[in-house]
Amino acid sequence: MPLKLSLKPGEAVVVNGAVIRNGERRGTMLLETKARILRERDILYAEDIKTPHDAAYFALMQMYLVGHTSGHLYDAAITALADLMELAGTEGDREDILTITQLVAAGDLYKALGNCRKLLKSSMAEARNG
Amino acid sequence: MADAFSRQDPNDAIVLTNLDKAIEALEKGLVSVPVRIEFADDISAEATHASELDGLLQRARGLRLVAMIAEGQSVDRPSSMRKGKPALHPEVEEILDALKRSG
Repeated sequence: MPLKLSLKPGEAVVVNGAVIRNGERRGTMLLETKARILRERDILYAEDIKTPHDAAYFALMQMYLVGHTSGHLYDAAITALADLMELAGTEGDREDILTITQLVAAGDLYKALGNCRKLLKSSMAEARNG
Repeated sequence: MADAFSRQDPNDAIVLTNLDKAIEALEKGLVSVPVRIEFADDISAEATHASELDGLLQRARGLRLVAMIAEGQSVDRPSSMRKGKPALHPEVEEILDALKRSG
């Protein structure tokens, strides 16, 4: 079943490592096969890594963008997740990080990245509140 | 390779559910493909070709390291997993540069 991807004017998306930017009008793209897709808004730049959460997200993002499930990028992801785990203050955080690590080990990078994004947002909300 | 684990059909994957035992079996070459390690409910990794066994072992070891930290155990990390910012992969650098240029 194809995936319908709606793009705002000027919005970019990365599909299997190719950067595709929409033109001046809203557009729709149909992906007829499985592909690694990441929207521009979900991209984190290396210079924006400020926290261990950012580093973990960035490490997973690299694995997903390149499509490697083992090797150097896997070691880098485990390093970042281990750093994050060492700082985890609650049992809930530890469970979330462990689930993300299990997903990475299983090669389910799309889900791992989604879970990591949620963790990143909740950590940002916590930092704002207090 | 002789399997230390039985399978009813040669095409069936050996399923390992204990992470430590799975790592030990892979390290000692006690299993052949296809083999699957179940990490949690509905989360598993599988090797279907012999060339994938090293990758499967690496992934299992990485998970064990993080799981040990979660349990509060003292962990001696390998040199490739010391603290620090992730290095930028050349393919990712190309993607990020393209996004900046065109954005």
